[in-house]
Amino acid sequence: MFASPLWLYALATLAIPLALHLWSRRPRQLIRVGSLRHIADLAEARSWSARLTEPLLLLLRLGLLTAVVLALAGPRIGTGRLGSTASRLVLVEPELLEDTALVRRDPLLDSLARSRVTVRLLVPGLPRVQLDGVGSDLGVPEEERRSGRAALWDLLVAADRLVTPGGSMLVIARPRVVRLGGRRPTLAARVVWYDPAPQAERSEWLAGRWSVTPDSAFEVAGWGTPRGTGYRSRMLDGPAQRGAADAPVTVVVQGRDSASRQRLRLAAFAVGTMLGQQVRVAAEPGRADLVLTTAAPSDSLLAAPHRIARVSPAVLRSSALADSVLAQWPWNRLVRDPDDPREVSLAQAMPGLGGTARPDQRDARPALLLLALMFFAVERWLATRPRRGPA
Amino acid sequence: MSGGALAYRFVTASTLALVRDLELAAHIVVDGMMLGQHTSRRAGAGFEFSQYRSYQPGDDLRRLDWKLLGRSDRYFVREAETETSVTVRILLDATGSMAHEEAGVSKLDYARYLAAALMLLAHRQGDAVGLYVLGDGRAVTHRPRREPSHLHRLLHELERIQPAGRWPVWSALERAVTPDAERGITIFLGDFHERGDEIRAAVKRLAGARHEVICFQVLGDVERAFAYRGTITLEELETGRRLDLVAEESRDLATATLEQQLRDLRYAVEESGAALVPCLLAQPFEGPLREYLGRRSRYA
Repeated sequence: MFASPLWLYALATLAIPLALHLWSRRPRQLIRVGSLRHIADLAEARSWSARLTEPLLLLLRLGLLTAVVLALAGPRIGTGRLGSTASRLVLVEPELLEDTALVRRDPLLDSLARSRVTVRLLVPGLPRVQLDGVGSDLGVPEEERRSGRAALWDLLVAADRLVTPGGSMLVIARPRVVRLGGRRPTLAARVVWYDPAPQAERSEWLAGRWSVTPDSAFEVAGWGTPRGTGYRSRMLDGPAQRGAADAPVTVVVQGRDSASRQRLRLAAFAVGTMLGQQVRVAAEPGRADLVLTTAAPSDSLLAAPHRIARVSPAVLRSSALADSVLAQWPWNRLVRDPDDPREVSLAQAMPGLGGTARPDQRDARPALLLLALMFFAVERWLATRPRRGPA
Repeated sequence: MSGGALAYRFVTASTLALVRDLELAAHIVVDGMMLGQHTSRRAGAGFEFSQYRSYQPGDDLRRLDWKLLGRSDRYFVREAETETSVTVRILLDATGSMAHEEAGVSKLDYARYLAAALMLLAHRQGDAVGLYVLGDGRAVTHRPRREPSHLHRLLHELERIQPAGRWPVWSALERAVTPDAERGITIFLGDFHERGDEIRAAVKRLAGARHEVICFQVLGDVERAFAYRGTITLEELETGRRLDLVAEESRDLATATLEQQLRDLRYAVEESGAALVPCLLAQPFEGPLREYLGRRSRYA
């Protein structure tokens, strides 16, 4: 609800006007006089006004501070609840509906199955399925299941078009690394992730391994639990642990202009740094291990013994350049399993976090600042208006 | 005039507060006033010789100077200065508002000293003096008399007065004052802080009853100038009503309103034929006493 909730600690400043108000009500010097008649007439109106004004001023000051602090915390107005908006879409991973034990164990899946609502399967085409029971084979080919797992963002972008503005989609799926890789799209719909009965087992995988010296190697292993992911590294000794490509990689870049070539060089260095390999950039293709080019390889290049990696000009100026180079890097020692079952935290999986405003939640800061300005103006008017009588 | 007498003339209530005995305080005040200069006398039957005049038919033969007749064979009547006798009534406001105090002196203290001095002054002039203490919703009456013992009784009574309560209703005041059908000077001592116009009404009725009424209005210097400072709470003595205010912000308004009320009061009092003499707590007693003497002289 708040972009910077830490600012809410500043609400402690509300104690300042409260303390000042209480301080002003402390016992004063008492003077007994014969008559108040000469000031009573005006004092009556004034004291009535003062009795009303002082709490009003206090409320205005408290309101002013509250509005400013809330504005700093960056609140967003909106329910954010599933089903409360214009439309909603339920996307379900087919394997989850086919797992009878899981459906019976998970309350949401069980409710969906019992209510017999229409959902869409999280596979290419987003087919509609009428739930009339669980445990049966939905008849989705394995290729489509695999494709659905690998291209989650594409499926969500397609589903986003089916949701009216301000709507939301409920995605019931296991968040896996293979599914959540790549650049996250910005979606118009609010996405609510639901991970049914997350697996409790811990999974580990080899993230990378490369030689440091002729007799040792460096290994990075990843781990994943339902609560998050992490990496740990260790040094392996002995010749048996040596990597395959320990020699420097000589790269030749070819592009239409110097800017393109510079980008390719930087991408090659980035990949080399990530993989722990030394990269050298050469000018002559004849001495290269790899040629990075944005153009179609010529016959002479194809005839040469070095490897060729073609990078699309469309990717050249995008942040996916390094990924594109890495995908064609011949000495990539990272172990990647397309069906990697390791899980990531839902916080990692949430698209649009960190800056993408959700359509059903409006930024409340302008309204709060306007409110604070109004409070300030009224407070100043009340506090500085000419006094017609005693304080 | 000696320096000591000059010092006595400017004696103030705060000085008299050091004197425990009220009678002594009255003597200090009155002795500084060149006693006797302002007695009003008229020629007539008396003890002190004034002049001779020719006998007129109808003159009392007892006043015929037989020795002069023997020497000059003419009829002369001996005339002497006759001291007039005046009845002085002192109405003392002893309501709660008279407890207003500044620099250790309350309004009632000031009124007490002034009343004692007036009593002594009147007594020395041979006047009958009476005291009416108005407070706590009633009037305590001490009828005018000329005996020295009566003066002592009145001074003793003055010392015992404590400020309390509110102004009595007119019926109580009327019962106390009007049985003295004798004309005279009525001295009103108080701060004249009213709820409505009860004091002005009383002054008007007394003045209408052929009383020579002199009102001494006792006010505090700080009260009149509203010279309070900072954030204060004012409490009305008679009602206990409180008012929180910042003195500096309210000063102009308070002083302007008070002065207007004083002008209205003066107008109302003088319109009824009485005189209003403002007295400040830090002010010497000479001014009020001279005012009294002037009035008495004209009256007698």
